[in-house]
Amino acid sequence: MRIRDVARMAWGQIIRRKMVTLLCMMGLSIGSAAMIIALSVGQSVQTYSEKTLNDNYKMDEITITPNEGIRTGNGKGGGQTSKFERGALTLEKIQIIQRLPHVVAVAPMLKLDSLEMVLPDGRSTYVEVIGTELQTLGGFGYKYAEGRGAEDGRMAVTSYGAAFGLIDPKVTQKLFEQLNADPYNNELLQQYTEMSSKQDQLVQQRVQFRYEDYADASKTKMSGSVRVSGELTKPSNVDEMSAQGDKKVYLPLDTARALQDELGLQQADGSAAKRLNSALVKVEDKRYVSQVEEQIQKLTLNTQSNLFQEEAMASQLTMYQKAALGIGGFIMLLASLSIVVAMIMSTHQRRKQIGVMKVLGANLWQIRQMFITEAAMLGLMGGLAGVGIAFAALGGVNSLLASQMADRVNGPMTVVIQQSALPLGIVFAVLVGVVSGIYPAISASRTNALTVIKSM
Amino acid sequence: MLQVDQLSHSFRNAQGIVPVLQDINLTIGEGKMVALLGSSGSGKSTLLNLMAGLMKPDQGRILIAGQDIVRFSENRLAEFRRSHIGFIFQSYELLSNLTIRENVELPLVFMGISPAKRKAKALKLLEQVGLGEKANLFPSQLSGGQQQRVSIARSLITEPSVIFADEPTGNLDTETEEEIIAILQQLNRELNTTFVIVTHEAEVAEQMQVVLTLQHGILVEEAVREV
Repeated sequence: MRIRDVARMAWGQIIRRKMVTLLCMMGLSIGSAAMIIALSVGQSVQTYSEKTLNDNYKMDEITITPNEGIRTGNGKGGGQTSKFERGALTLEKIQIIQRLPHVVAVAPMLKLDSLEMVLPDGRSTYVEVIGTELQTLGGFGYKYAEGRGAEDGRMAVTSYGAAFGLIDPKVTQKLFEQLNADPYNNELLQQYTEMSSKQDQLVQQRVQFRYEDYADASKTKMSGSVRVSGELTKPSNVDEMSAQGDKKVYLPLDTARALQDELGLQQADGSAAKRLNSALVKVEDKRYVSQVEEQIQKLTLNTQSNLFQEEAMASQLTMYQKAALGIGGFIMLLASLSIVVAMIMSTHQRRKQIGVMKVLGANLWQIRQMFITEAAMLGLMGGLAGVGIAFAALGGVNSLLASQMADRVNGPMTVVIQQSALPLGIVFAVLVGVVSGIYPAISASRTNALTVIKSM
Repeated sequence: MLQVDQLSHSFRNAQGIVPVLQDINLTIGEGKMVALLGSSGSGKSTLLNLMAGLMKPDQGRILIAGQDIVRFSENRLAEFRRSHIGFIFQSYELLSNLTIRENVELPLVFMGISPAKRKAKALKLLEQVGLGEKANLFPSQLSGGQQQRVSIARSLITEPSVIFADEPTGNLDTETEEEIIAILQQLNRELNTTFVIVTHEAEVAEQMQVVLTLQHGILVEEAVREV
């Protein structure tokens, strides 16, 4: 029997019994749409979450810290650190890490405390001071809005946010006193907001850093001046408010160590002079992060990446996806039952026709073939309708997401129908159709031709 | 040639086992027109169904074209029926969703014959039974006699060696009955196909070359006539 003939006969039955066809298709199309939506939503959420994670958590970066083990003593550096020399983070280790496969950039870091950056006119703001090799900043995606980093001399590079909110401390203090007295004064609040969001030109300015010991005012120290040689651009993935709040000053390592000495920030442990307190590693791709981490850990260093965020997200997504697939599967099961019932009814109604076909020479397989093809066609039609339903449903979902997530930095999440989900949804619907058609097909082929012809 | 050896068959009902056919032996030559005559319950339809391979006998052999069809599996029997046996039903049994031509073509569909060949053959047979112009109509648009002619054309399309007809004129009026018998006789002459026709009407049987009379499941008479 030719495939075309089988298909034609099956199609004839499908169009002849419109109501049964419609009922079967409805169940299958909803099930198929549920599968497509589940897969597409799962994939889109994963893509969006990965993008958000990459933007917010920098998934391809590893933070390295010294492996100091468990310190004893007073925690101020007076403990048995000499026992942990192997775990120190040194420039020699940084050079080794730079040569590891898949490592794109390594920035050694000597983080000082949060210090008050003071301009020559006395205005100031608090910044995080970090000693590093300034030429490595480019490897981490930082770009200069103005000037550039210079390793020679007492130079500094400021983040975008460091140029905001430079206010005279006396003005700030006065404003705070007024606000304390009148906390609901909108004019004062407005004035403070305006001052905080005022941007200064820092490049080529000389700045100093003040370390204030609040417990003992006599220990407050001011560093020597440092010239700002460059200013970084605002990161594209951060909103304006957050970017203004991210106040950092990057200095060459030597300058940072000099500042430590000038401000008395050096730990009592003298051997720490050549050590770093952290380093940042940029890896070619996040899939190499674990591999690079393992290599770094062999240097007796601690590593920390944001892969755990992804793992946590992946497990959550898997749960959601399983739930959605479960719902889709359940609908498919119901659809499958509806096909079984509809086709058994159809077999019963058509048993005389089946009997005649058998008398005319149709064998068991040919009868089964006709019923299974019919079920597969129902599955195909249901699957195609499911694609239409999925597109319509996701169109609605996207409109809703666009209205609900319009203010997000990364833009609203868009659920994109996965190309791979479409054939999968259709194939699944066809498979459900075929599997559901097996029992009715076998039942039909077992029809006793003579009995049914004589009885009707 | 069709040969039946020591064929017996019985049915089981609430009263027990009821013998329907007992030790039937017969031989039907090629190109013969044979009537199976008998009153209701004589076993003539059962014999026809057994010879057509629609039932399995309790014992005995049925040889068609030298092959014992009793030993065949269901699928093998379907294949054999497709190429060697034609069947004409009392109530025509045309598929209502197919056109006349498609109904005639149906046995060839199961043989995997190409649509073009099927169509040509079906149209030729419909011409032979006088329905060439009605090829695209549906069964419900034809009279009973016309439907039976379609059924005859369908039984002939595979060029079988033997055609079994179960009361082919049972649902028709006398005039149409004569018309159908005439067509069968004409086709028998033209194609040299063997026809085995079950009937309870002596008038129909009289027009056949061989008349096999059954009574209570026993072949009581085998009459050969010159028609």
